[in-house]
Amino acid sequence: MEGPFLEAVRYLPLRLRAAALGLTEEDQARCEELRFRAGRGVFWLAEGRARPLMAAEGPVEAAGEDLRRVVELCTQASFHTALDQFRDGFLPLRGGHRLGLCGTAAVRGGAVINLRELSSLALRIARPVPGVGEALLPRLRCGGGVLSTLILAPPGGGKTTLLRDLVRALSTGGGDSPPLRTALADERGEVAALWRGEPQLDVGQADVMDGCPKAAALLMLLRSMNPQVLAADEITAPEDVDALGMAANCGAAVVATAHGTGVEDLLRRPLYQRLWDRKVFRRLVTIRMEGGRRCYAVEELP
Amino acid sequence: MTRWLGAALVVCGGLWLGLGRARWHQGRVKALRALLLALDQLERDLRETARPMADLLAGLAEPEGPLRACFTECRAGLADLEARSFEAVWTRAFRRAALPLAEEDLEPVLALGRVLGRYDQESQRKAIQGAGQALGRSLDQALADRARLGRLDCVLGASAGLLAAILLL
Repeated sequence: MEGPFLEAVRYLPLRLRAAALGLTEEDQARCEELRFRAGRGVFWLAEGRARPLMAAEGPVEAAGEDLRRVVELCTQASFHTALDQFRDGFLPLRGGHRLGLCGTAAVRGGAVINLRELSSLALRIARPVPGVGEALLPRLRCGGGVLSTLILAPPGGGKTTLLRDLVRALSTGGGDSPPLRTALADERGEVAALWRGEPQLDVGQADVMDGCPKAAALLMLLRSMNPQVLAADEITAPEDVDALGMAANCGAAVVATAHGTGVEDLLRRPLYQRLWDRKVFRRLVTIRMEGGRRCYAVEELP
Repeated sequence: MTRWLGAALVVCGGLWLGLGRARWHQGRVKALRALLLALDQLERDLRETARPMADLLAGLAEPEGPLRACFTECRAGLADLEARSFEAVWTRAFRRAALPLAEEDLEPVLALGRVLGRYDQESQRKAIQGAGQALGRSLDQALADRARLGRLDCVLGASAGLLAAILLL
């Protein structure tokens, strides 16, 4: 079976693919993202650092046509069907990978109708880390269930990866812990990466609502799937906070993520102050990079 | 006897060449009509369904006719986008189809390869409509050429054959 890197570079035209395959096996295993900028160099990212992609003749460059070819390959020459997803700035790919786009937007009536003159692409490689959440679960569980947990980290810090594995572990159960009815509001399709209804990334037995605004998805899941656990990625809007509060009042445990480096950083923002004041969460998991590795700290909340 | 037989063959050869040219005019009209129908179907499918390119091409390849092989090849070419752009796939398919079309007939169709699948629905539809208008003008010209030149080509062909036969005799 192909690894995530080989799976993702299949979306590149041959010249760029050959350049990416020039990375050592070790670098391929840790590469998290490939970035292409029109008329400029191609970079690969790992552990938060960007490095130029090199070929025998020097740094690899991408022309505007190369970027268009990548999009053409990713959409199978069907940009018109993918445009709705592009309006969110990215295109989900099979295998859970995603292609982020930058360019000149064509706008009509306040809505983005096209993205012309591509300037940058970011091919983000999905790398699930099975088991990363299991080590934390003993500190998050309570009796047969789980305590409402907020996962905090800066962008690219591993929140989604951890959330995914927690959803998997909670919905599957294991050892003495029974499986819990787990529902996931996956607005951006990053956690489960549904492709024709099937999760491309392992979320166990969770029920997934994909592509739906988070607040609406949380309420729909609450009413339709009778969850014991409700999970959501990236709380960013007041209505998300309200929906989480409602879920908690209905007895479901909530597991969610937010951008931040710590509690002080979180509470500087009024949205999260509201979340904090509601005392929805009983556990806080903070992810930090230390020595190139992710470290997870679990804190009990009053 | 052999000389008269040879002369007859030369005359027939000339006539055949003339008929061939007339057949080309006929084929040009048929190909342009088929293209116009195909573009109309493509524009309609894009407007009403916005299906992926593979499905759109499958629909275009369904009807019997001079374009079936062309659109079938385009659809197969989608599996090879890593090696060549869709524009290259499209151009290659139309060149290999060797349709009885003048270069100026084919130009607007080939230009579509630069737009199809790369832009929003509206932009693609406008490009298809533009190509359709150009092909419509080509069809008008082709019909006029067929009426005016078709018979003339036969006569010229036969005359050239006869002249060659006389000279050789």
